[in-house]
Amino acid sequence: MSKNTQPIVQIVDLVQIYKGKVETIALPGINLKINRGERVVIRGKSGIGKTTLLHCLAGILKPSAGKIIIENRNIVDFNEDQLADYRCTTVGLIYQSYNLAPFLTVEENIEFPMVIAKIRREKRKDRILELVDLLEIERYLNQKPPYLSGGEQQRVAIAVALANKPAIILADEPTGNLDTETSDQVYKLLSNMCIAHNTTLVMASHDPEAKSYADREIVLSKLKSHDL
Amino acid sequence: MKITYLLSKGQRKLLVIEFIIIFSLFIGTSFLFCTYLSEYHKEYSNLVTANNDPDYEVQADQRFSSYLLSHSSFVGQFGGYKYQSIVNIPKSLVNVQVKNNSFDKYNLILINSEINEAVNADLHDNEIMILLRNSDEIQVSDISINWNFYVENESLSVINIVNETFFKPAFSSMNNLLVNHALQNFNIIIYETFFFKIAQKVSYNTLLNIAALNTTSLFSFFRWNKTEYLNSLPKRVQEAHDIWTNTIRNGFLQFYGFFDAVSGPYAQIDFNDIFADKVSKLTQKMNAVFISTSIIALIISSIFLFTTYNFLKQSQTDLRRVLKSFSEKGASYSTLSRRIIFLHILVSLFCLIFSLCVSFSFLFINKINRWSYSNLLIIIVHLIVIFLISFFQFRLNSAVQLKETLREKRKRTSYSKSEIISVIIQSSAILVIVLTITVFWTINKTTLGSGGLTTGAIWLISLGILSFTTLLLFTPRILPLAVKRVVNKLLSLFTDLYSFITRLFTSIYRSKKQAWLLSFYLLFFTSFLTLSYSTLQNHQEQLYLSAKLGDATVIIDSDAVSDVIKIGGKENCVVSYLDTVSTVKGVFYMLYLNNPLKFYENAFFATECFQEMENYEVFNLLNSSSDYFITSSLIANAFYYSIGDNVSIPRTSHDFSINYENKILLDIAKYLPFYFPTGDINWYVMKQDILKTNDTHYQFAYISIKKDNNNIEDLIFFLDEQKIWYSINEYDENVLSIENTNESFVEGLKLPVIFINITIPAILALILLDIQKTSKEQFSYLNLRGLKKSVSVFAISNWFSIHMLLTIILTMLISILGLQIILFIRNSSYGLPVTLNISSVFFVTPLILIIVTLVVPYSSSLLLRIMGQKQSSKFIIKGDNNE
Repeated sequence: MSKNTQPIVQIVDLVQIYKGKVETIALPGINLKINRGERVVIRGKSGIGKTTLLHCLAGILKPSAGKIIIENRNIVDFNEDQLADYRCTTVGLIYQSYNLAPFLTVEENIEFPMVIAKIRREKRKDRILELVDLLEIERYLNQKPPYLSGGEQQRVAIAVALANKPAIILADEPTGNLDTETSDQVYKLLSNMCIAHNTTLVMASHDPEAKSYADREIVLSKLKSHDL
Repeated sequence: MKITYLLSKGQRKLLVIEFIIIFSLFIGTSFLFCTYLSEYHKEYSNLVTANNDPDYEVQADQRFSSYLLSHSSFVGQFGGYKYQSIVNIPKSLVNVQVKNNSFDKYNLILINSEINEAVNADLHDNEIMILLRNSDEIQVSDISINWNFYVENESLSVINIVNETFFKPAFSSMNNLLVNHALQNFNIIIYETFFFKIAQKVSYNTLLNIAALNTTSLFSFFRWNKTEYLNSLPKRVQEAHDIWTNTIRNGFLQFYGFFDAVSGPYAQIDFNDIFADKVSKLTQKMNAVFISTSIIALIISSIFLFTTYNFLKQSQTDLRRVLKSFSEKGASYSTLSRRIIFLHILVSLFCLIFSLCVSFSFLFINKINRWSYSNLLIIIVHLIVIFLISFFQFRLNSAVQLKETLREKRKRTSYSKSEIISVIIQSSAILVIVLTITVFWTINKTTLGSGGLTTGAIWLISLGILSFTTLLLFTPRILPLAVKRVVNKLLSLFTDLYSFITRLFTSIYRSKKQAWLLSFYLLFFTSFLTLSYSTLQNHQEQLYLSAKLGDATVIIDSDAVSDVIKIGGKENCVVSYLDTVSTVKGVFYMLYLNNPLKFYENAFFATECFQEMENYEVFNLLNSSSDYFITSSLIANAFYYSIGDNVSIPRTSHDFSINYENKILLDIAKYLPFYFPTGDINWYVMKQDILKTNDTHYQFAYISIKKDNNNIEDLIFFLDEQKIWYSINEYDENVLSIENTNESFVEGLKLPVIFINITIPAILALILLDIQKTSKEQFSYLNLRGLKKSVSVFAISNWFSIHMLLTIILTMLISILGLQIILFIRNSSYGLPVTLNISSVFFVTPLILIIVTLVVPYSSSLLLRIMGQKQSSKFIIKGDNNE
């Protein structure tokens, strides 16, 4: 534990079971606290539940049981509209496959969360310029994501995630599709951004290198309740 | 081979589903045509194997003397063909008493040995039979029949009283036979051989003394052994039948020609081609069924082809993945691509073989496999289907070239440019083709037989076709632009995100171009077919009513109208009133219509009927006031009337004095088919005077009536019985030609119209669901960034309903334009105008679709609510590990 001692994320007995032909317990009952501004790396074998945990934190998956308290609010109880607001303002999401809207330009992709958050046009433009400058993607502003390389797309994805200055960044294997050099750049960028804005970073990764950019490493293991 | 095996293993699920879809397509279409064939063959074989029905009928009307003279040459066999004959000989040859009263309303009929044998009458010597058509209670003992001349020991003996079923063994149905019309209610049947025995005994001169000036009708019926044609096409049978009938026809003409040369013209011969009529009727009926079957097959094929296309397109991502993994392991891409194509073709061929087996088994079981038409049709259907499937597969498989995403995207940048070029090329091509045809048509107007069309009309038609083709081709391309603008404007009122959402729609338009195109053309097809059906049906009904009303007219005392209507049937009669006025200028017929507009609605008027105004306008004005009248061109010319003239018209009052009324001449008609087909009588038509409410004030009632179902005979019987004065006119040849009724076409359209109005909304709902699925995927990118789901559902709902509404409106307008052009061409070429009829059926599909567009976007949430499931996953996240 480091920096602020005030937990921004509190996970209590979180259970996620996938129902299908065979019932799969993805999260067996997890308890976890993450402080504001803390950078956490979640590691574990494939299929252990890293992505599931991040999806639950992002409000994309509704857990089978348990609580997820973010900034003193249990997001499990949120309705769809509240979850949409939550994803727009509180968390920023980064994925291995970038998940950028292919029909929008880079600028529009970055601008979109700010329009939802009802930020004024001038402020939006300033913020876009700030982010593209920081992430060095200025020259791609009018391009559409499919025309960019993997590293470039991931930078754009980071810009999109940071657009509304979220309190938490959730990154799921952000360097999964990138080479080592670009991965290092992405880690560095993410880490610096979080430090600069006191943003909490929760990152799922296989990459041992990720640990060096985090304050804390959490390793998930199978079919056990965790107090992490 | 190993690679093919591995590919097939990797693609097993896809290939199996593809097999099921394609096989369903084959089976669906071939089943429809097999059912059609089975029905056709069943009806056809009933016709061909019918033993009792005559196939050719000849009626020879001649003087009785000539009949007696010719009979010795007519000995039961004519031209080598056996025939059955019924002869109406002069009834003055016998005396008939029924219940001791003399009776003269009967026919004296001779039957030849062929009929005697066929009906098993077993008439000998002086035995006769009575055939009663009405169920009058007459006993054999009530009837006394004697020769009208002296003949020793040959008195006639009535052995039985029979009804029409007596002839059933000889003619299974007498309805279409000439003799049916010649039968009276009371008919005396004598064996021909017996009659000629008597004739010889008393000498022909004795008979001629009694009936020299009377005529005889000889009805001869021939049968044709046609069972050998069971497996031939109807056209082939008709050709063979024509040869057969021509032989008989020539024989008859020669036979009577011989007597003609000897003793002058004395016979009139009519030929009634019964079998040819039946074949033609059957062909017409089956053509209608074929049209409906083809349209339904077309719709079903479109559904399956679309499903196949969609399915194969959706599976391309998976296929690319498989191909990529194989090519990464060293396999050449072109080889892999060829193998994939081979696998798909193999699937189609398997489907083809299975379907052919099933179809031919069906044909075999139903014993239609020996009918060459069946095999031919089934093979053609299969060839068309396999061609379409191969075309689709080729298009799809050629698209499965393992291209880098970037390369594909780069290609897309030049897409808009190539699209513009393609649009320009297509427009130019349409323009050049239409202009060339028009110029060619105009120059060669006479040689091409389009003399009826003016040059202006030709150019108008061309302009119409040009607009129609352009609209049909380019509207689906322009439509998304219009929809985008409208949706953008509407969404901007509700959300700041409108521009992002519109961009998303543009992207979906591109990816689902085929689906949008299909929906547009399906809607156009539905509108066009529905509109054509209602228009043609309306036209046919109008023609039919007009034709039937012109069959016969009865003029009676005006107070007997209700009695006549009871007999004729209210729906079959059009009643108007008639006053005749005699002046020094001649006799005038004043016709009063109770409700001229209603009269108009029931009738059809040929274009030359009125001179200046449209028919509707004439009757509408006539209906508006009794100050107007219409008259014939003959009177107008005789009295120098012009349209709009104030004319003094004579009228007989209650005390039989003549008064004059001023009325305005509305229009001049060449003739009014219901009344005076020739138009050469002095008649005036006007609205019935509202003050003259009692119809009995008029001298006569003039009733136009249909002449079928013997209602005229019943009517005459009734009028005779009631001793009502009447005058009856029957028109054998109606003024109106009913050749252009398109009856079979309208009949053929009926089923497809019902079918498409049910299926098209269902297909479009599926298309919308498919598009919704894609849009949900695209929306998930935005939902992940915080877009509320309600906003996306609202946006889709708006988008769908606006798109469909615009599509419906445009397809309706294009259909109306298309049909108007066809009607204009048709109406310019024929004298019988057809007007566009928009019935309520036209709006069935649009209404259903508007409901569908509103419901479909909510379908997933509705479904979840219905199923009561807990929503566990909301987004489709590209490339996620599904842990």
